[in-house]
Amino acid sequence: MEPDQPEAIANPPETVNLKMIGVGGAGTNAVDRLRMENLSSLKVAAVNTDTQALGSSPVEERLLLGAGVTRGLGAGGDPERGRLAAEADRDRLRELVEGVDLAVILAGMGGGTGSGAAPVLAEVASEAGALVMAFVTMPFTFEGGRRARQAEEGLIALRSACDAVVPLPNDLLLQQSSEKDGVLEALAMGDRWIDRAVTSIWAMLFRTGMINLDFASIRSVFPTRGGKTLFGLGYGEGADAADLALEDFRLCPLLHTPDFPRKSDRLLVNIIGGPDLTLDGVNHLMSNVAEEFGRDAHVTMGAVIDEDWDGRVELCVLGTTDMDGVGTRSVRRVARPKPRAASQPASFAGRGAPEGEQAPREIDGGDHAGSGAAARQRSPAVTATKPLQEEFAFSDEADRGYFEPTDHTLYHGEDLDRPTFLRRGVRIPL
Amino acid sequence: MRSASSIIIALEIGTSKVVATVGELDGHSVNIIGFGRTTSKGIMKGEAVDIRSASACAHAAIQAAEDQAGVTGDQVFLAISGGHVRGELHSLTHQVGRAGRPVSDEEVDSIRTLAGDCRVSEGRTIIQQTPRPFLLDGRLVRDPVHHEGRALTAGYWILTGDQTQVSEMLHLVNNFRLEVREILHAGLASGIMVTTAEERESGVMVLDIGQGTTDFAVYRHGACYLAGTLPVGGDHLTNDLSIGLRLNRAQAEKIKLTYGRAQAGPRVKDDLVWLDGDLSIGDRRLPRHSIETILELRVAELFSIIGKEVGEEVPLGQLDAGVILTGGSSRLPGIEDAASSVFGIQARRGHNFMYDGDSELGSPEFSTVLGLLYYGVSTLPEETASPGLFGRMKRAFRGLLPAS
Repeated sequence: MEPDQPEAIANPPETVNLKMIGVGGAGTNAVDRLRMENLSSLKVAAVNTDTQALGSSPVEERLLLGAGVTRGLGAGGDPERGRLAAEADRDRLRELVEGVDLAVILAGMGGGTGSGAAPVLAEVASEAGALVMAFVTMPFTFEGGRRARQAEEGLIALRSACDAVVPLPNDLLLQQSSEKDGVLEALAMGDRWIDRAVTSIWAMLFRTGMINLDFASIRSVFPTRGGKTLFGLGYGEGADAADLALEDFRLCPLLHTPDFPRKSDRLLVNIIGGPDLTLDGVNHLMSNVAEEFGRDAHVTMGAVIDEDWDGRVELCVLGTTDMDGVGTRSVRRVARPKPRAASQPASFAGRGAPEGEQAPREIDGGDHAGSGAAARQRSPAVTATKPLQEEFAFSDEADRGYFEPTDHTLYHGEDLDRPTFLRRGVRIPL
Repeated sequence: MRSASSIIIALEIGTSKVVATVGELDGHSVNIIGFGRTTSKGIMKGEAVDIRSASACAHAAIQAAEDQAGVTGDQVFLAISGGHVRGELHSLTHQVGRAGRPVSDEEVDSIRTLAGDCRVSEGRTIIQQTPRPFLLDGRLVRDPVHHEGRALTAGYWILTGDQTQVSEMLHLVNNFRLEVREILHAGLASGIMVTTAEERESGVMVLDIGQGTTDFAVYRHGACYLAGTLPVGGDHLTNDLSIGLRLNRAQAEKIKLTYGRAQAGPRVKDDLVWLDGDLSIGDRRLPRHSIETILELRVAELFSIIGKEVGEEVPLGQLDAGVILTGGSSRLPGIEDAASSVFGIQARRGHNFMYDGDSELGSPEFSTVLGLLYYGVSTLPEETASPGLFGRMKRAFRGLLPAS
């Protein structure tokens, strides 16, 4: 893919190869549903360890992982089996992502295939030169401590292999469902969020807009990896659609959880609106978002006009944190394999590869961040000599907002610092 | 001239505030001659997360109290709380009364000593050891000497804390030319202030719900059976509101204080409250039921965790005097009802009944520091010999006016 990069910058965005890949049961379900949107130029694939689930998927490109490991019977909720299945079929995964510029991985964390195989796929896609984003649902607290732990481990593994990872906690998504929704609708909330995000990114790339974004500028928002991704959506309709979208965005529950950073160094802001969207309106939205969520932010913006969107505005914001400074975040990336090694012995053999390849790839991007990022890539080698940091790798992962400076208040595996209503799955209407 | 030996300082370094009181023993009465209070910085969930700020707060509070008292004390009694506090029972049973002889003094002493002599694991330190009444052949016996029986059980409830955390707290004080003479668990300190001897006899649980922690102590047969700390308090209520209603901390705190209730009322559609109510930009309306639900869930969870912890040691049904709530967060309306519905026994708000003044010291958030002062005074050497000191101190407190 490397040689194509300069072309992607020079040519119109049609050449950008965007592929959405669902991994595991939840991921496959999500792509099945999203496929109905029928966005042109969006390629879709499903990857699973379970023949039966895969067989019922309407997606054409389907890949059964690790037939030799799981005999097509699924990973049985064990991430190690999911990982082994993916490792066994690395070559086929590579074919799947060959030539892809932007890979969007969808998976549910907590089970076997999603938690185990998705990080391997992300790694393979990175190696193949793609920009990798992952949208992953996190299990409900009531699903139990084991699933929560597996999900957290899967998330950590994904963060080190993806350019952007957006965790969507089911506990929180439930808050967005409406009063009479059942459990299934609540579960489908995750899909809707992913749908909106992917549609927004797709629109940025493939729709001609008021402010066009090419792939290189999107890439420039993700100079380093391993950090947390800020992600939020806002929607408004009617006469004050832009204001309402901004208000809705401010209330986006994802922006109010400890798992998301409050401020970002780089923001990618996209607005989809109808022909009635004015440049003034766009400007208003952008400046507000940049002021509230950026840290002397480097803002990359796009605005897309869609005839069908008259009187409606959707705001989609992705933000990343630069991995510079003392290198605490960089340490995290290097530190990951250690704690995981205990539970997953032959863990992620190819881990070194994407790290090494990352620096040149970013220089290829040809943007302002390139050289700085390359320099930062080296810092882990220095900081990795502090073994103490590794011990804290898990706990400093979960930024806990107000209670961050304190120890976790764990009681029978639950972190009491997290709101009770979230852990109990109680919806709080706003 | 006041002698320094009769002056003591009680200090509580809490999550919301640091309070110092200077008490003076004057014959059989205690005067609160100095009171200092600062808003805490650098304390979360009862533990110091920023030593420098916490130290500055502690010093400011002590300074203010001493300035008001016009004396300097040198004996500090310090309250300890925080999530690092753990409690466990340490008990021993020995064969006694050989050959039909009644239990002897020596036997009682030796088993007491043995039961109290417990080792704590590396990095832990003992905060408190409270003796439980003796059991002689399974029967409760106040004083087993001269009783007949075969197996004598002595037990201590041992509270330990993280050594680093405890010594950091001590350093906060020691750096200020003062010395900590004794530390006391915050739950026990509050227990002293809000319970009567009768209640401790018939069984009572004290819950001090502060901003960062909830400290509890359970008494039966006149003794403290167990005590502990859960690092969940008012800050969690605020944080839950802030996440659930997408408010910043200041807004969430204000909503909690203005509209908070520990039990959700019936759901009334369109019962909305204004965030600011001043028509300012960004003002919005919040469903009252949502506010109450968030708080109800947290409070119920807090109580049920404590209920579970306590219930393993002492069946809640045996606490005839019920539950007494104190601490700043016990001001939350409806909290007694929430407590009694979770614990299944009567619950009420406590008051600092030994304190008779009309200053703010009567409020629930001062139970710990007053209890601490009371305890400190009761340990002063001149008085240790007098039996029944407890009762007299109580009267002495009652008759006093606060230094305000």
